[in-house]
Amino acid sequence: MAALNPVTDNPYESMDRRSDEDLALALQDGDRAAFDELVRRHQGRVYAVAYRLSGNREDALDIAQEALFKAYRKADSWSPTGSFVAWLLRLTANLALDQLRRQKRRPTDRWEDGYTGETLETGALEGVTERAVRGAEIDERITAALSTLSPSQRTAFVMRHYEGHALSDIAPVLGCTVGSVKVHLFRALRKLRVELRDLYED
Amino acid sequence: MKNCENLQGTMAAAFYGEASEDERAELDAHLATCSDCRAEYEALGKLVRSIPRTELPIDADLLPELRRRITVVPLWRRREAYAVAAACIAVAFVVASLGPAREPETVAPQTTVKALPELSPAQAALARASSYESERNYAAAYKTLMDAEEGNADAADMGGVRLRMAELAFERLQMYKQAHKHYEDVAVKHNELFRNAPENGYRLEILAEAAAVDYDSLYGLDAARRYGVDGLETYENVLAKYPGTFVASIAAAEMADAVRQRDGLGSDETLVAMETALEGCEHPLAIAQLKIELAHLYRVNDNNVERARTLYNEVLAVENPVLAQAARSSLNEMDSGARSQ
Repeated sequence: MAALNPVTDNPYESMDRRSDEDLALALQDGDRAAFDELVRRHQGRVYAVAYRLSGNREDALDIAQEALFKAYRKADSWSPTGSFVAWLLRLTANLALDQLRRQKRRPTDRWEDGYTGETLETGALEGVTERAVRGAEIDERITAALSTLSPSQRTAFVMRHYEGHALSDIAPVLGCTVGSVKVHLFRALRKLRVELRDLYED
Repeated sequence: MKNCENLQGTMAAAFYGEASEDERAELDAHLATCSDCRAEYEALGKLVRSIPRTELPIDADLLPELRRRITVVPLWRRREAYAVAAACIAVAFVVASLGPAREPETVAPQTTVKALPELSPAQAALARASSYESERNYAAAYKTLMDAEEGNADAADMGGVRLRMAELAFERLQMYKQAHKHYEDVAVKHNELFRNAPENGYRLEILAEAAAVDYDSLYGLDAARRYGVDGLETYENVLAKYPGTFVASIAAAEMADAVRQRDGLGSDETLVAMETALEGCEHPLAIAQLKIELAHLYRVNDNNVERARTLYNEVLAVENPVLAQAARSSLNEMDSGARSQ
């Protein structure tokens, strides 16, 4: 299953035609400008992974920041034989996972702060199509459902479903075997099915 | 049936195309006979197909904050430091690879609860600080580390604590005087740790230089960063006030970054961006600083010695001893055939 295409899905338009891997090699040589370009291209995707794993904007921005900072500091540990963005996103997931495991609060507590479960006020949405509203509601429901998963389940699901990482790449992030990743993934799907039953089942 | 649970992992893998042919066959065979699993397979499969991979656009720009934490060191300043760092990284790798291998887990029943290994004060403090940091409470993290250091100043493993304090003070809390002290401590007491990252060396150099003006140059740089592309004049102020300093060098590089972002230039167009920044400046000292930076770039990155020479000579005409000295020594280097720096 192919991962999202970072070029077509990214609103940032760049004049720089170099590939991510060329930029990463330049970064390893100490080229700070190359790093800037990589940040502009991929901060959105790093943020998306962080958001889906942490469930809220502030944590996601922090994690994204840390991930990019770490990528700069540890650029030498990226091996040019693999995709730079995949490496960056694994790094992001690692950081997010660390935080999830460290937090003593249950994930659902965090979500309850912001999620009301009510539909958006129509007065504030003049001109917005019903479809966009519905889309936003679904996104909120899915994010809420994700927060009911355990850290490992959440990470396995986000990395596979949204980012298309191979299960063998997810295993080292979770610190388990590929077989365990599959089980985490299955349990994630089972829980999501329960949480999203009214959305997707007849 | 018992087999149901064993095949759950395979089912999940199959949804995402990662089940082997044999696994698929085993799964299909089971689904043919087990209606419960078949129902679940269809429901979960539908779920996988239904959950959309929507875009989650980021509504903030992370670059300005990253700038604060990553010292923008102009390439021409960087060369020497990298040779040192490379040697240090090689040493660090050897040390890291000598760590203990994972033991296979035994299945012997345990009659006593294993005691957790005791953490040293430094390790405990670092763990607590890390926890505070994940809640964005950097002041509390710093205090935790400070308390540990005060109580156990002579402990052998305090290096990590001191370095973390230096980093927090510099990157998060903008406490430059304290950061200066901590980096100095690390450099003196824990030298291998210090040399592990070239970043540490740059920061100490910057802080030592900024101490002469009570770190005002750094606070000025922070102010300029807050404005970013909207405040190129603020960067210009820093250049004008502290010509010839490391901070001015950094300000020039970040000014070029800001121009690059504003004008949509590629990351390989630093020279163009800096020339543009130069055009927008009015203060003679700021202009001179940018010319020096440009000259260095032309000489080192672009091998355009003619342009470099012209710029250095223009700086000589500005009556500032610091910048004139920098220009003069660079011209001497070029004349004597020496390359770089």
